[in-house]
Amino acid sequence: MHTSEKIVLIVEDEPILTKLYREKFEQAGFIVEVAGNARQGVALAKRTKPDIVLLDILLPEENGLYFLQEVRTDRVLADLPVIIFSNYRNTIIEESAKRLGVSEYITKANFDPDEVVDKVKKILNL
Amino acid sequence: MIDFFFINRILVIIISAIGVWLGAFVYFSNKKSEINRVFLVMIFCALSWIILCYFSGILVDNLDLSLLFARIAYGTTALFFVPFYHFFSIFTKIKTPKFLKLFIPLASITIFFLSVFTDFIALEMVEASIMGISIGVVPAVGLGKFLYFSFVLLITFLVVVKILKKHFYASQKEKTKLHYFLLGIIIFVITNLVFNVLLVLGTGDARYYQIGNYSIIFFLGFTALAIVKNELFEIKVVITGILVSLIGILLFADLLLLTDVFWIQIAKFIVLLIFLGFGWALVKSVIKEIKQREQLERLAREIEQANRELKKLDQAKSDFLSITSHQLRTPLTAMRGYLSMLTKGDFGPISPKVREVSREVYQASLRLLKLSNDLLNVSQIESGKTTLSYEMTSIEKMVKSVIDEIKIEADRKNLYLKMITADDLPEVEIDSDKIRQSLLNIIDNALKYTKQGGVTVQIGLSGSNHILIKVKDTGVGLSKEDIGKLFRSFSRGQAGISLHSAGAGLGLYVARKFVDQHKGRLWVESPGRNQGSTFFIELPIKRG
Repeated sequence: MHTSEKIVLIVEDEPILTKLYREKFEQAGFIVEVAGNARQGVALAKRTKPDIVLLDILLPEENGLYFLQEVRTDRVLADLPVIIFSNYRNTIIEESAKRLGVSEYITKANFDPDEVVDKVKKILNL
Repeated sequence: MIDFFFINRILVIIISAIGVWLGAFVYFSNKKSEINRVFLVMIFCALSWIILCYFSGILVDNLDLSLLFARIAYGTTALFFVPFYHFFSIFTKIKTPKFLKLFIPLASITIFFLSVFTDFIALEMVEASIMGISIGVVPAVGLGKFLYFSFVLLITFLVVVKILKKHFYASQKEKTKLHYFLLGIIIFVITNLVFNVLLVLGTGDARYYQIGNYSIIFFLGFTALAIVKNELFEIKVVITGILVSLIGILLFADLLLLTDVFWIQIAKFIVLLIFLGFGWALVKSVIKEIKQREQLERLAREIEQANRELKKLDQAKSDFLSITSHQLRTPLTAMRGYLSMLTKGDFGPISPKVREVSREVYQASLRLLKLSNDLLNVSQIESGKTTLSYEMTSIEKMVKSVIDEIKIEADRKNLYLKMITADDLPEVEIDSDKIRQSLLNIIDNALKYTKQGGVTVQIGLSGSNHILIKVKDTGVGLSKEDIGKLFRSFSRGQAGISLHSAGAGLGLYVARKFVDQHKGRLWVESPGRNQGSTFFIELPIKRG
């Protein structure tokens, strides 16, 4: 399967970072959807049925765990692969995220955009 | 012969004078305070009682008037217990049940009228003598005595219960005050129980009741001290003082009243002087001991306070570091991301010069990120927030990935960076993120302080339960002094200071803390300056 058919949903509230990753993923041939908060992210996920989600944890109003809970209780989206993608690391949140079935928990500052694309490709077996 | 009337008159004068002085002293020290005013009322009742008793006793020729005085004296005594109880209610701040608030004044007024206008307590006045010495007239008491003394004992009991209750949760200063009250009350109550209650109740013998009366001065004295003084000497000093004075008075009375022979009087006088000297020294030593203890306690409190302040400061520092590091990461992520895309040609071809410059800036952003990661790690380590999530990890793979990441730095400096590994190494149970970070910091440090040659990472077993990673460089080396300081949170070796200014020396501190948390060991060996160093990480293969 080619990347051009794959949809990446980025749930991230920092405009400069959404711009950066949108650019990188589009260059890599993905279709990119962007949500600035968790509620919007859930709505967008239900509408666009993405293949993978890059989810920030610290978001305005509801945090990333809210998104995860909503997605996991949705019949269609229950198995959606999610990479937690946050500059905030906290053991308790990481444990909860693991229980909610995230594929990976990474600190975005420690990865170059192409490494992030590689991770996504690896999870999607591309 | 001892003149009882003379001694009695002197005693009444002294006690009245002390009483008036105490009342005035307490009242004028704080006129507005309720407790001070209640104390004044208490003094008034107590002195009326003592003075009326005195007059009743000496009116040998007018028994009717003497009886009236005795009755009013008994009445006033009943009234005394109202301010007495009220005083301790205010002091202890323990609420009085409503029925007691009504019962105590009502009972006391009833007993007052019964005592004054009926033969409820004082039946008639009879002449009395102790050991053949006339002491004037004393009241013969009626059956009302049982009710009267039950009331007195009940109020005293309630007050003592209040003080003891308060004692449970009082501060040290309040406790000292309570001890004063208790000492005053105990002397007063015991003397009264013996001379005014038990003797009178048991045998109807009221001859000694004035001794009980006069003991009130102890109670009033201690209470006045407790009200007025903010800093009180411990009860130990007071008891020692009382004992010394008491023995002194007895020795003096013995010398004056019971000794006829002059030279024995002189001898006893010398003994008295010696005793007073020793007594004075004893009291002083007790005071000194207590002062020293208080000083120590104050010091301990100050140290505790300082510790609390330091902890607060420490917490503030950790919070500050943690917040700043998180905030730093977002712009740094954008910087490294765009620079990485720029240098890799994601935005189209760029000139070699621009590529070189943007690679430099990219490296600088990585360094900033590493610093912010280290700061965050330090803040988490120091606030005790790091927890390990163990997983089975191939050390070999980990070392390889660390080398891949940092190789670019070695290449830039024209240094070699190679890995030597033993065969068939087992997987190790570690928090791979943390150990990876430690290793990264150590290799990064080795590269930083090496100008030529390079770094070799060697992995092998150490015994059967540990794995050992050696990071050997051909760099500036370390003196013994450097080694001692190396793993502290903000220090760099002497050579490091002259060679480099980047990095705050946090990396090695973080590495050691992470290795420590795995119950492993991180240490360094170096033959000396300019002879290279070798860092060792030893980790248990199984956790626990």
